[in-house]
Amino acid sequence: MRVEGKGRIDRSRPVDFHFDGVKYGGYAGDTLASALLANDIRLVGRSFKYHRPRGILSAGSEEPNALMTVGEGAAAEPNIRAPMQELYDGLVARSQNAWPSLKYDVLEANDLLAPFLSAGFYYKTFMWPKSFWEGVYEPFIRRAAGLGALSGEANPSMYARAFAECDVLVIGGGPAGLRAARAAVEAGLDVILADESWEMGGRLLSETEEIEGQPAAAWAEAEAVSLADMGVRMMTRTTVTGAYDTGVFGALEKRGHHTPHRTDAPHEVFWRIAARRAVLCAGALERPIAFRNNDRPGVMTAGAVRSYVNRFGVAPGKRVAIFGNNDSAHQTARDLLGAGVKVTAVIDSRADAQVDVDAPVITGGKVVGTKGRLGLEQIIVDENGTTRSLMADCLAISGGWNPTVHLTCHMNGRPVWEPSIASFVPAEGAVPGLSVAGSAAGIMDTFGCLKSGAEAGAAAAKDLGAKAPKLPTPHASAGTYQIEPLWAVPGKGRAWLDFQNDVTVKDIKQAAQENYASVEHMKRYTTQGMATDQGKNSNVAALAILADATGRGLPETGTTTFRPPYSPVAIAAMGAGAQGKGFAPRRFTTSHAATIKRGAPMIEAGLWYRPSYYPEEGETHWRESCDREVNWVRNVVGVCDVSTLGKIDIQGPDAAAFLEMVYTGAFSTLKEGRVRYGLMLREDGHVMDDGTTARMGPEHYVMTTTTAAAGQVMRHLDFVHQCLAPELNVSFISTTEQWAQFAVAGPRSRELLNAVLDTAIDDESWPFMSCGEIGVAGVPGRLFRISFSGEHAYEVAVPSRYGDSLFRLLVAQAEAMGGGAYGMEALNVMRIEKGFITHAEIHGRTTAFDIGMGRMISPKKDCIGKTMAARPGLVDEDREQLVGLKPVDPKVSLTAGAHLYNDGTSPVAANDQGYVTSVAHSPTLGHDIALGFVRGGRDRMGETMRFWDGLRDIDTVVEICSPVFLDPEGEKLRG
Amino acid sequence: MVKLIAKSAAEGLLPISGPGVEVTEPAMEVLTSLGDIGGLAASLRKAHGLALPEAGGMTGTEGKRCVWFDLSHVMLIGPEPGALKGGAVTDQTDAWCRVLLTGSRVAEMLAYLTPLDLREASFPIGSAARTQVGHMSSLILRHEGGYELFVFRSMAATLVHELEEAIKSLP
Repeated sequence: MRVEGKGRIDRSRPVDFHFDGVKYGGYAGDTLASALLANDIRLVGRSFKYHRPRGILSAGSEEPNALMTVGEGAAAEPNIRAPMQELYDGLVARSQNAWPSLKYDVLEANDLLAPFLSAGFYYKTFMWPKSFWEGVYEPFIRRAAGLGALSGEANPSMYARAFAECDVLVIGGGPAGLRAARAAVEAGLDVILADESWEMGGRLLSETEEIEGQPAAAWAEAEAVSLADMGVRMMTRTTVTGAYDTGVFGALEKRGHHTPHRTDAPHEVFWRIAARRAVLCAGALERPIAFRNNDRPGVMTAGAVRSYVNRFGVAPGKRVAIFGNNDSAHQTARDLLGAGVKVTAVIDSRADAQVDVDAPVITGGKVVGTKGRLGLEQIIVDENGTTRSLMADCLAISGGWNPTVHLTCHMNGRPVWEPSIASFVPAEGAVPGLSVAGSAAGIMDTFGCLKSGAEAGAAAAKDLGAKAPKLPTPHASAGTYQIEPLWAVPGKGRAWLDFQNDVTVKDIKQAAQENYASVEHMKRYTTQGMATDQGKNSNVAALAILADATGRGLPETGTTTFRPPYSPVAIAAMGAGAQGKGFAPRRFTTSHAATIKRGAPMIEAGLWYRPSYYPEEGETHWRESCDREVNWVRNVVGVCDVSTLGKIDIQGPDAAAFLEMVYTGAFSTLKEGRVRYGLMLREDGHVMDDGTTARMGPEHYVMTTTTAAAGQVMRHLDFVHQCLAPELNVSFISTTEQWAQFAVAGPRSRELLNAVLDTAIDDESWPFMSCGEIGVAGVPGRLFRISFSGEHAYEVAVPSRYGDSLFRLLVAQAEAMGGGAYGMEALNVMRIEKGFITHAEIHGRTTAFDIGMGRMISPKKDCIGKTMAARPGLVDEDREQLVGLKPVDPKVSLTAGAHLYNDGTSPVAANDQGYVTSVAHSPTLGHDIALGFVRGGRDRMGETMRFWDGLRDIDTVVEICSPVFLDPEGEKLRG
Repeated sequence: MVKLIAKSAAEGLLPISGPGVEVTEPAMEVLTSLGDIGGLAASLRKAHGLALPEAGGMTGTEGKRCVWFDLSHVMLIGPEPGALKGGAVTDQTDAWCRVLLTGSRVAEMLAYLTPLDLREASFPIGSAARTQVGHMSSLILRHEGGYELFVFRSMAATLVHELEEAIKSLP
């Protein structure tokens, strides 16, 4: 019901929205919750476990009941807290966890079964038979219990992550926060003020009190404008969700929740705010009191009732009763009366309470129960032992206020019990650099909040060496907060504590009785505090009841652990920036465009995209393309982009010594203009990487690494130089990106190159394993005569800006000669035919000995990994050694990943003799070939083995052979 | 005689723009990484009149700059290096995709891409930093007229995509 003349809503801007398919009206400035209440909708959801009817309890992010699914289709978002959802025209909201409808929910039957469904029920009941858990119980419980569901479609929303820095971060824009920000900004500091609402002011927006003689809300509004003018960065709709090391705070900004859904702007932004100092002014949360049936729609916190009346101009009921144990509840009656709403009774549990309100007052009384089916109709009041019913469709409860201590506990701090306010307050210095002010620190009057905020802001400024002004505290209401603890009203029936997880007072007592007496055990046994509100409404009361049941005090009982986030954060926001193309950078070679144009499917090699094969018209299977490309290289000429291999430029007087330290072989003896194969070991003696290194000048080498290990090798070199051999005068830097490099391979490779090189080459000037600088179509380039295919081959390099052009030129030339471009599949086939290793073989668990390169570890010098590689276990003749494998029946297909067993033995782990690492179909040989590792394999040439792939159901026989299937003498290379 | 055609790293991808943000690819300049293998400071001063920059800084002016690059390198931007005694000279002209960011909201936009503190006091004109841009390793320079961003040449398309997303993220 709307109240005329009240609230901060804009009555000139009516807004339409839908709830459960019905159209309603509200105003700009409403929340979904306030608009529902304005339309007299009290029943908004069903509880998690018992499907009890529930209504709006709060006016903030702590809301446990009014969770809605907002939006439609793929963009629908579940579990939106209605008091936090700003109303906009066309908003569509649906209730959750009810079927077929909110009013007639079939699973309400659970409520009748309540005696059987108490805490621990799941643990005790669904134990047998064991197999039923996954198949029967769990799916059923999941359907019955729960929150809203995801759409099942890909999330179309955009999320962003962002970074911010400031001198002082003020968390919360209430009276304390506004003053803390002012003190800090007047000290000349960079200040961020963050608040979860769309406007600053906090409780000031919801109360009728005055500051400096003007309405508190108006004062807050003017103060916010003034702070923004002074340069304070105002982050509204931003919840600071976590406090982390080194002054970093996580914060969630809701950008798109208050407008119709957009896909071209972020829905949410997840901020990492680095602050030198922070002031927590997060306020306090009001707690309910537990009594029988205290969960009926219409029962709300007293502060929420004031918010709806004062901020939104909505009366949550026609006849409102108020029940509290402290003075703050009394103002609710005055505000309601001021708005023309009937107040049935003000019930204060304290016998000596002074209640100065123009309405029926019951002191020393307690509400012991409620009546009404889908909403509150009556309350039952106990006054000195006699009970009577009172008509009320709304009950405002105040069990006191809990300071919002959460962020102070994110780095293992524990709050401290403060008996004077019957609450926990933050421990001093719990988060380095963070101070606490206002009611978050337990100060419960406005004057005190304003004062402590300014002091905390000034202290933070002073701490940073700035001169802080001494701000006079504005005139505001001051007073002492009188409270007498009342957690639960004694009596029969279910008294609700945790509304969201349906936990009652009895459940807590039962936990204690069954010796789940530690607060952490109680929490897990009852699930109290484990819902999305994280127990904001119920924790302290539950602890108090546990303390009582176990005969301990509250301070000894302690709290459970507060962890980030303060309020729920979508995974999509946490992972913002990593959706779709943002997942990882995509590295394109210079030949990418030309390759895509030729229709080559791309494969990912690390971050690089490389062509799998280049299909030609009429080819229907990748193997056809691959075989053709292999035949081109073996018989004519092929061109392949190999720019992705790591290239490291190494210079300096000690370059050779440095290389000899990291490589197994000698490099000081390598002549200028020559290339040598190198093997690099880890410190533990296993192979790290391999590649070729060219000597370009007396003190100048160019190392190549594999594509996969380029980063790892660079890190290794940095480590070796910085930590192991800083005395070596050497300088190295990656040049992977500087050069576009292409393999030109095949019997006619030289003929092709001579068509593009500025000076023709021949075998004498460029023998196998030579290198040097050379003009390539007028551009200074480099040429290396090396081969990964076993053919007469070269790698030609030009600065990357010419890569696209050179690739097109080389391929055109090759095609004119009857060859063409080849991709990774053909490259792989040819290297397997030659027995060349890749990281399939040097996978981290193999040694130089295993791959047959033991003799490459030079006996004449030391190198990293040499000593460790000589350990007896790493040179044992029975180790699995690299061999070639060919099927006895040439028609059989082999698979990588298969395991090998002696003929006639069963394929079990105990009989394992080795495994297969690489497989290809050799078009040259006409059958499949493989590389693998076999125990003592080098001495077992010609033996047959059982080849078993349990995953793909292949069981066949292979023969062990040399890993070099083709041209073992290397005649083609030198040809 | 055939002639190879040069293509810039971000050819066809830039310019792009948004409210208060202009992204362009600058004209190619020679980039040379220099490592010190004995007396680089003297030879750099002699050959180019440039001092070695402090970590996180740069020396020289537009067209002839020396920028701090990493623990053991500086980057000479502009002139052909020539022979530099005591310097490990490596051509990097083609290794990087460079973009210029100008406009009133560039720093605000960069907050969506990099954790670097870009406030005046932390990153004044003349600063250089190696940092993260999206998921990429980068070099960021602050000039009189804006920022200059370097990422690996192969990542040019990803950089432009990330910049487009960041521009969309501006409120």
